[in-house]
Amino acid sequence: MLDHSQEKTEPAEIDHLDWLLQRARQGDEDVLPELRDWLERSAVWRRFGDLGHQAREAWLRLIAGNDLVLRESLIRKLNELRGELTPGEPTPIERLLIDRILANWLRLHFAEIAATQAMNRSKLAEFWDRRQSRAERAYLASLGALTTLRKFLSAVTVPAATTAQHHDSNSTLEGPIVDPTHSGPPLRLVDFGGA
Amino acid sequence: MGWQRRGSRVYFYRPEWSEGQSRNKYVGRGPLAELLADETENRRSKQRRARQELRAIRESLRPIDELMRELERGTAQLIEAELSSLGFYRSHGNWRGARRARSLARKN
Repeated sequence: MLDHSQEKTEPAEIDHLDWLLQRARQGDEDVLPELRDWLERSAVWRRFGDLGHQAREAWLRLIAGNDLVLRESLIRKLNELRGELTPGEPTPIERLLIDRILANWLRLHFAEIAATQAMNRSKLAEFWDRRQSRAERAYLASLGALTTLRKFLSAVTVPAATTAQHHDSNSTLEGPIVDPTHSGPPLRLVDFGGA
Repeated sequence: MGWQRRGSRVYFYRPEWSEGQSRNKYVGRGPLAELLADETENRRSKQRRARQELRAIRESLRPIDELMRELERGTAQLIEAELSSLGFYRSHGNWRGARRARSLARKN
């Protein structure tokens, strides 16, 4: 649970972020250092990390109920998934996106189980089918967001580290740097059409 | 629809759908009417139960759906903040600006 002092400061922080983003959307480059500073000192990482944790726990309770064996096996599966998605040292945003993927994986898993159980009951089956489709879209969108974010971040960070060694700003040890803006169809990060 | 009084007697009318409209079809009274009335009532109570069950499921999922929405909203905002801070920008819903981001990264 969040403490009250945190709750009081959050709206102001989020409002400030909204304001910074508005300026960035209008092309105001002066706002970028302030935005970087905000991201470094803000407490929202913790807040959204808590949200991810709460969501994961809530889905686990819904799926496993009192079945501790099922709960344990789901937690193992989540850890496995986290391991596959996590590089050596994830950044706060990567950690948050991974939390979102795990929560969406549980949501999809829950919808699949419920849809199977409701198979012979038309109204209920329709309801769970719709939820399953939405959960699948959300899960894929969250995976896509992580992949795309990494692709963009690597476009910025890799050249800086390798330029000095190769005198070629377009190649790295692993091969040419792919400019995400010119590599196939652009991906959307978060627009998947509702939760 | 259902049992309806006509004068001193009650008759059963069975609801039916035809041409997109609900109509009451006269059945009358007697064993067949009783049977059809029972069947109609059973079907209705089954539908009522299904609606109640669906409502209860929706209610029970509301808090976690809200939590997920908040998580999605927050994450979307933070991704935008992270990429904008690096110099990327959005154009028609897609992220652009790798060249600008690279030049900003070199400056910083």
